[in-house]
Amino acid sequence: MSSPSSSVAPSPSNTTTRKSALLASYGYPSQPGMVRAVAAAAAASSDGVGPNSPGALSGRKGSISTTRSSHRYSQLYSMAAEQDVEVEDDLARAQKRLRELKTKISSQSKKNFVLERDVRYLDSRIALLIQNRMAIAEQREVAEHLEEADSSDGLFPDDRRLQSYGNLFFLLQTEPRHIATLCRLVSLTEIDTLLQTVMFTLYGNQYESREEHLLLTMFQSVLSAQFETATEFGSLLRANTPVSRMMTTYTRRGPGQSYLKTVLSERINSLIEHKELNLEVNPLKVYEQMINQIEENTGSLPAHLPRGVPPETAAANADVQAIIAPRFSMVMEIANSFLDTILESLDQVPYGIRWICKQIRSLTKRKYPDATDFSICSLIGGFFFLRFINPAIVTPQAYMLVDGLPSKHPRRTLTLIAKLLQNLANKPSYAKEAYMMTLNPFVENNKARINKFLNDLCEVGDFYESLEMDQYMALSKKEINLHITLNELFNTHQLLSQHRDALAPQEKNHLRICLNELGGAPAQVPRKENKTIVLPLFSRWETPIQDLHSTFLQETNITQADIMYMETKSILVQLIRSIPGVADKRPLDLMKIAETAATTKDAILVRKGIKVKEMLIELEALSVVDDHFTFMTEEVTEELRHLGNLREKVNEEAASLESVYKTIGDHNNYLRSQLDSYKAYLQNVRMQSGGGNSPGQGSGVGVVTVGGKEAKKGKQQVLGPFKFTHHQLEKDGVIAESNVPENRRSNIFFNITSPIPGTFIIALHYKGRDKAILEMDLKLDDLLEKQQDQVQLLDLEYVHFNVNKVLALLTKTFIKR
Amino acid sequence: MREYKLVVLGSGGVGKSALTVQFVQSVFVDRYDPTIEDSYRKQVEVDNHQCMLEILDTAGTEQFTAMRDLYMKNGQGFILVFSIIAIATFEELFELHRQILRVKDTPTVPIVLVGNKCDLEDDRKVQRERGALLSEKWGNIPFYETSARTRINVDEVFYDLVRMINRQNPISKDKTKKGKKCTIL
Repeated sequence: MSSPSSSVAPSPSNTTTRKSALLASYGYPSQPGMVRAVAAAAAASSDGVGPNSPGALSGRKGSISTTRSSHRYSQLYSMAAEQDVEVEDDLARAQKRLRELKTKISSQSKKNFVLERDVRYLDSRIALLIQNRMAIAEQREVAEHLEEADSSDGLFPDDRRLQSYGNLFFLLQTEPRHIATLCRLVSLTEIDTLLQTVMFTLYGNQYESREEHLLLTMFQSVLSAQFETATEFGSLLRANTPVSRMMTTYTRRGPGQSYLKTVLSERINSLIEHKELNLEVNPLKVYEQMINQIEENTGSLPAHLPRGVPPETAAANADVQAIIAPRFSMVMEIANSFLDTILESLDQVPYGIRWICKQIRSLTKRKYPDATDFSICSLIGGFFFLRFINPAIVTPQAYMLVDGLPSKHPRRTLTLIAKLLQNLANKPSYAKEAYMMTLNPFVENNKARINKFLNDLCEVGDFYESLEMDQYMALSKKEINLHITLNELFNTHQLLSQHRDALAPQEKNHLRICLNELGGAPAQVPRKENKTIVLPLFSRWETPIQDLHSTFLQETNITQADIMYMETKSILVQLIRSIPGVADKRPLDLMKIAETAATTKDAILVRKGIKVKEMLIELEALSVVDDHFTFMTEEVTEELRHLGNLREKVNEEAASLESVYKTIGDHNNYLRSQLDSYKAYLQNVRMQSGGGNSPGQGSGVGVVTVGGKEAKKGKQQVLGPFKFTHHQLEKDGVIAESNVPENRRSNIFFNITSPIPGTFIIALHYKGRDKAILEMDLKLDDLLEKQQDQVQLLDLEYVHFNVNKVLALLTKTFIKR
Repeated sequence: MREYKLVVLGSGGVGKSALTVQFVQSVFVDRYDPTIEDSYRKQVEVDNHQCMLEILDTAGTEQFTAMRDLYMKNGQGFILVFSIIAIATFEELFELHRQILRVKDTPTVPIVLVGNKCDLEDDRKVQRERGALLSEKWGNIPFYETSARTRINVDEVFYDLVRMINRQNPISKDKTKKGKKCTIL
């Protein structure tokens, strides 16, 4: 990675990293209690700052309230506490619910993403079908898209290859630069599949900070490259590129959707309730609506109100002005209310989105040191408003903020609001539409506010400190599994192989070694066989770190007593969480709590109670604590307070995620219904153009079922015969070659009949004879197949037809009726 | 006077607005100002007929694609714009073209293909022939290379689109339609 950002990327050789790596590997997550003890001990011994400072949780998002090391450890402490699986109290239950919810959202948003792609795909293919321009193979592909994908887990046949893939994807996941480079190399048509794999599978756990951070690291790298290749400031982030596609896909993940819903949905919904509220302020449109109204009322138009006037005339009309004036103030008022809501939401903006804003700002400053604050803000606005907020305002139905398409007037109002916000963010010097000038006060009044907001958006911490920690924690995790479909696997493999030399030019590069081992990528499998497999990630290049415990102690000067102190504390907290009511009385009596635990009926609690009692006594004997355990009581109380807050936070988060889950569930239903309507549509097209065959019998598409039901066969209505003369067909180019002697051609004609949809009979007649000289059965599917195989001519003995022209003729004659 | 609803479509930053504003207001906007949706009106004379053009300038930003369906439904003629200095913008038109055909549900829709920024010859990435070939493949539709900056072929694009609409929907036919409307009233 040659970008300047490499200085912040995790580097294993860094000593502080190493320390946290050791610390993390030591016990996470198999021994959470121990990690917590050690981490807290480290914090306590460093400078006496409480490990469970309230900033600990949000600390991950950058508010560094303590020194670097204690910040790091306190995070670890809280994370360990968050993951506490030994206790079964309200907090633990809430956390469990939250975890389950997050998993469900992650997998559901992936399903939606895949469905959206299917819908887009079918969308593009339908036009071809209409024109009969779809090749047979493609029709099959379309058919496949209508099949339910097999969601059951599959097994990968070859264990050795599976291991190679496991190693390859480990590299991809832990070293985001590979994917970042790949994103820049692939074409826009290839990137969707790649992004699907990256955002919903490779880093698919949308709520786990580690995966989020790795994903953002990848973003950073792609963004830097975009800035490096930009030729002029004005074109920055303008075009639709891999970066913008990434941004779109990124905002489709849980946190982005959740933000839009909480912030915008109420405002938008209350606006679209007023279906008849017309707030058009474009004088031309207002003028037009006005004279239409007059014409309707009086039956004619007065001479002074002609149609088709230029904008200036419309704007100068006194009546138009009178209509517009109150609308203006209302539009401004609504726009202001949207703006207020957005500005107030600063703290709710997902970290990743703010972080992207921050990257845009710092990259701009680096590349264009002379860029004004004003122009930097317009770039940030270009991302935040143009690519995130405004699409949701203009088309809320596409973001599941409202049910169904808003009606005409509110839709126009929403567009106006978005235009105002965009003007505010971009502050153009030239008003393309003259009337927008009159809305300038909105820009003037809010200029300062928006610039502050856009700058504030960038005020988030970097994550590299916690990234290092998280990353190494991941290494110590017993296993990381990716749930990945075969096609995702093969597609990524294929793209990597294709760009191998750019990604890993050196023979000894780990990525290259993996790719060399795997060889060429297998072809994509049919959708039905596209199973999801469990891919265990591992790295052969990691050597396990030996004897962590002693190394850790050496490096941090933590004594055995410190560890015991922390362990005692953590057991006490566990006991309090496990025994309701035991900590109701303040100040806490630690000894009594231990005693209570020791006399319960629960064997584990009894053991822990006895143990902690002994530890308390020993600590006292070691003079680590005074005989009232003052300091420890304080710390336990503080930790409980923190966990209490945590529970509230967890509950809040769960509530908001519930609604996100519902939203994406609704979206899923919507996408499914859209797919169903496509099925019906395709069905219809195929009934007309040859889908009358039952599956298996014809050579065409094998899908004739809609919603599980066998589709009705087309009415057996014979169409035709339609008569065409030899001369006519020759002129139209349908007849490419003719063996009929010149002087007899005027006596030849053709009758074309369609007894059942998709089947045609072409009969060659000679004037005066009743029976056809020659009859030929034609199936549309066969013709299409010929077309695909580039067979140009169709042999009718006496004449040769041009395949493409025959198809056009049949379409024109039979299908467009 | 007959009204024409024209829609300008294409990828982000290809110069849809620059082209439209140059045509309507004879001004070249050189500062980047992303469009969400702008509408313009201009009266022109094409083949001795007065025409009122209502031009809808659309968002090229891909996040706004959900609006396209409606534009396509309402539009009568379409200007598909790419930038000759960015190959991806050319390729993105394939999808747009397909979508128009689907929404209109007919293979013959008045469309003009436009390669903008032809003043930037040195940065050219899309050869003229490619544009010509594509326009042929799309049923021999008109193809222009334009420059909104130097006002090359700008009027031609819009005029040709009007002619295409006229061919598909001859003017006389339109008049009878209007007459019918009056009798209803």
